[in-house]
Amino acid sequence: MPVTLPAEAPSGDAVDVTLVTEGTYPFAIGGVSVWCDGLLRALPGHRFHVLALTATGHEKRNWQLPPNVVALEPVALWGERPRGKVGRTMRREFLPVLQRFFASLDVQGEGLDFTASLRGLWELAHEGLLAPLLGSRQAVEALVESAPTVVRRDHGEDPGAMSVADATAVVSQLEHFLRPLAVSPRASDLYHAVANGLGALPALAAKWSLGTPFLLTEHGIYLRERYLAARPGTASASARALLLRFFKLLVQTGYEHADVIAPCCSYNSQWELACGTDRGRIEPVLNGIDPARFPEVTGEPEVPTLSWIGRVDPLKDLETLLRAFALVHEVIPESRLRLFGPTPEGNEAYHERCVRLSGQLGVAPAVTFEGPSAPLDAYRAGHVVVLSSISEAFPYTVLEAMAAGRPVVATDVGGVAEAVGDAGLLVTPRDPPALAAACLRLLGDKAQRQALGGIARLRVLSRFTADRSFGAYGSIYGRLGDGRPLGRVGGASSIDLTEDLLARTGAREELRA
Amino acid sequence: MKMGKRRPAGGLGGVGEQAEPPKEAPDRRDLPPGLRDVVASAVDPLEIAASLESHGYTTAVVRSSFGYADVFGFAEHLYKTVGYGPAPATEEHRPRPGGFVDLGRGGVFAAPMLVFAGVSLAVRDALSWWAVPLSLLVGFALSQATGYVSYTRLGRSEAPGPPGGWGILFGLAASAVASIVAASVWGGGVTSVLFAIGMCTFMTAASWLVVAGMELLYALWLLPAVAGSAIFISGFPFSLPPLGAEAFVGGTVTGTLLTAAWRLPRGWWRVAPVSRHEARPAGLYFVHGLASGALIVAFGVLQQRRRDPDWTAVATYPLVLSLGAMEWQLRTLQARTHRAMERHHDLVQFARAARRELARSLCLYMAAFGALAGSVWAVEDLRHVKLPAGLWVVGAGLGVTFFLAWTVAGWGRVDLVVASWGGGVLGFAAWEGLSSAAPLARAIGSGSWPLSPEFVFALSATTLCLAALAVHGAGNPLLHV
Repeated sequence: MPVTLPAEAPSGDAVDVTLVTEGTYPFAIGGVSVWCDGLLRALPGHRFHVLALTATGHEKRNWQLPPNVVALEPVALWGERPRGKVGRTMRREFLPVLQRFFASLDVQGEGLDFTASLRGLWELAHEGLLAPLLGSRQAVEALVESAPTVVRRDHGEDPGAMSVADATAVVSQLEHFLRPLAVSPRASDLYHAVANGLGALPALAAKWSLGTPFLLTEHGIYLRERYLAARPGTASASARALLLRFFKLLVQTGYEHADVIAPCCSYNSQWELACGTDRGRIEPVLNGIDPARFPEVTGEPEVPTLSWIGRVDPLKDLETLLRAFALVHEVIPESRLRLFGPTPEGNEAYHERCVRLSGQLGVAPAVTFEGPSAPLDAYRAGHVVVLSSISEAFPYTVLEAMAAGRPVVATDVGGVAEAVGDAGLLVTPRDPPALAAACLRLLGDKAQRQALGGIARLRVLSRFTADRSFGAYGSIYGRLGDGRPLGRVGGASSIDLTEDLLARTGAREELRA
Repeated sequence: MKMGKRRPAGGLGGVGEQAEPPKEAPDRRDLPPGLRDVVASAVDPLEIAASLESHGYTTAVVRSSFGYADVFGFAEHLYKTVGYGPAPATEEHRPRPGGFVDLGRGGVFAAPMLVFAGVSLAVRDALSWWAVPLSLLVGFALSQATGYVSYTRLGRSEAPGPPGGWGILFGLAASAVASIVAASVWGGGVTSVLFAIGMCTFMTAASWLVVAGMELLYALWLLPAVAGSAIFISGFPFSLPPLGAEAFVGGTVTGTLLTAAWRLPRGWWRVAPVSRHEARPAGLYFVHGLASGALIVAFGVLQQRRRDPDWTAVATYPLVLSLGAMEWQLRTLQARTHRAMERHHDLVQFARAARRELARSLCLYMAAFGALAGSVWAVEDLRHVKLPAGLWVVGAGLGVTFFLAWTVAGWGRVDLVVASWGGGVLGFAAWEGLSSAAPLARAIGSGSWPLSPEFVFALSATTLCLAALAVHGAGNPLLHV
């Protein structure tokens, strides 16, 4: 049920945008939420309806919505199943739709179009029939009978037939994942999904029913993160394979239907291209920050200190950071590691594991978990700001630290290299000795710290400001919302992919020399 | 480590500045262990690419080291050359094994009832008639609701602490208010009020400790009370004075409550006891607990007022003690049904297997019930306590009802269970209303109302209804997820 908010009516050429988020704004803290909040505030002339895919729909709102947000509609993926019943006759009538959908997951299922079958499900969802159908024993039966082949590898074991347990697990998860299809499309000028995958479902529904243009922004690469999250052994092989196949096809459908795909860094576009996306619709818009909020910090802490900021999460790989710090601590016994940031609900066990690890490594007295804090305080607290993630897009923490004039040591994942350029040190992920060596190098060389800090600030001011970034979105909104012919824009933030990639490689070669 | 000078983490050798980049793709064995599993289990080359990148094999590294255009080409090569060998699901993602492992766990569920019986016998002279029924009703109801909300939060990977804190607090408040009201209406001293508050809060705290994974800690606290109660009731190996039993039980109750309070997370009160969408099912679990408590009260407690003191709880012992066996068999049924789901590739065959497992578990539970009933009968016979045979039969019927109700509630269909309880109550009331021959007051007054036709009729109807639900539901795999 959307919550209508008192709004100041934007005037003139205001575009009515439905912004679709998943697990982020306005309920969660994190980079994507920061970005959403920045976007909404930077474009006060447009009206926004925020459609937030959440776990239960009753999460606490962590962000104050700006006045141009006219409504907030949470859609719960994991709450109670939507009510509704399908009788025996209706079930018989609609089961073939479900069977076609299952068959379209088959890798050899040429001729069976996933998009068409997904559209069939959307029609059922629109009538309130999908959830009860997927909650029926017959749905499991249909999947067992369809038995789609989802893994085709030349050697090795036979994936084997699907058991009742696997089919049940898949059907019950699909019921949750497909809930956004049941959201009635709004008559917006534009649907803007902040992530692919489930976030694309409402946008697809709006496109199919009303022909609404669809803009897709990708911060993290949805498919990549799904693959990383579904580690082998976390579910039975068949169920895992089938669900990953579903996500791949869903992501491809999102790319296929988006009028403009705006990755937040060029790195992301490599993945979009690898998924078969048409290059012509990709318009990278690099993230930016407001430099006024991150003035250059002066002075350094008294003892050699490494600072980290982010949410405590396995993707941030704090274990590698702690192991690296243990090596640093061996060389500089007075050194400290200060970890700033909240532990989201559900990650308490990971937090505990990190605390235990710091004890096992014998560095507990030198490591402090500071909890949530003002970012600038976190950057001020360290000689060096460290990022140890195994997966990132174009992280705000790196941009902010750079704007504050702090040197950065970061893992080379996602678009981090594009952000850092020659203004920091990059290391391979999951490599404590490399991370430690880079930190030691900067901790031991004040001149290099200052030089890199200066270059970093200049780099942000010249390339990564919020004005440039959100200005580019304003331009895309104008084009898509007006229904003008779609095509690439030559905006300040649009970057030619090939050139950027070449520049990236070239820069490395140069530095290597 | 400086810009551009990188090597993948572990496994493959680094690309040194002087080194000639090898242009041969590595064998799977050359990859770091974490990557090896992913490559073998991958369902798509893109999955391998994602994992390669997260291990440092970025496009730049892959290009300079192995001569591939990008990480996707390298991933494609690995996907084609490495054989498929998916990792099996780890044990933590499978249901508990069931079997004898859970028999011990079942003890944790049965023991409080023994303690209940022990302490109520020890303080019976100072105890008003309402104290035991009130504790059972509120305790059962709140522990069911607390257990449900805590489990739900655990299922969402959230800390189960807040519902535990709220459950204990509600238990304390509800039992205090109810017992003070009862004392002022029906009379009763401080002992009755303290008994009701203590037992009710203890049940709620125990339920939370079990859900929050502190069964062992709770079991350790239970030991003194179990030992004290068993010795006091049986008089074996020595005769324990009532004060001794009270001390043992008091120690357990205090210890359990302090442990629960100590393990509650900081700031638990800042989280609402239930979210809006949990309110309805939590309410249903509350009613389910209330109904279960009411049946035990109706069967074994209320009639004690009219009988010889030696009768106290005798007929109820097999029922309450068999709760442990019930927990054991419910767990075993869950595990065996899940195994059947994994084994079968056909829903009809699975449904048959699941129903067989249901019958097997019910039979084993009834066997345990029979053994307990036999033991109680033998002990009481030696003490010259004679119970009507019909009471044993009704007790066994109640055991079956409980087993079926908990089975269906365990599938998440507590709404159907509550409907069945409601049907039973309506049936009872209808019989009362229609039959002038057996008014409720006369039945209660006679002290044998569990044997009254209306009670037997209502119980039979409820049991049949639950049996139909259980047999039908057993074949639906979605209920076993």
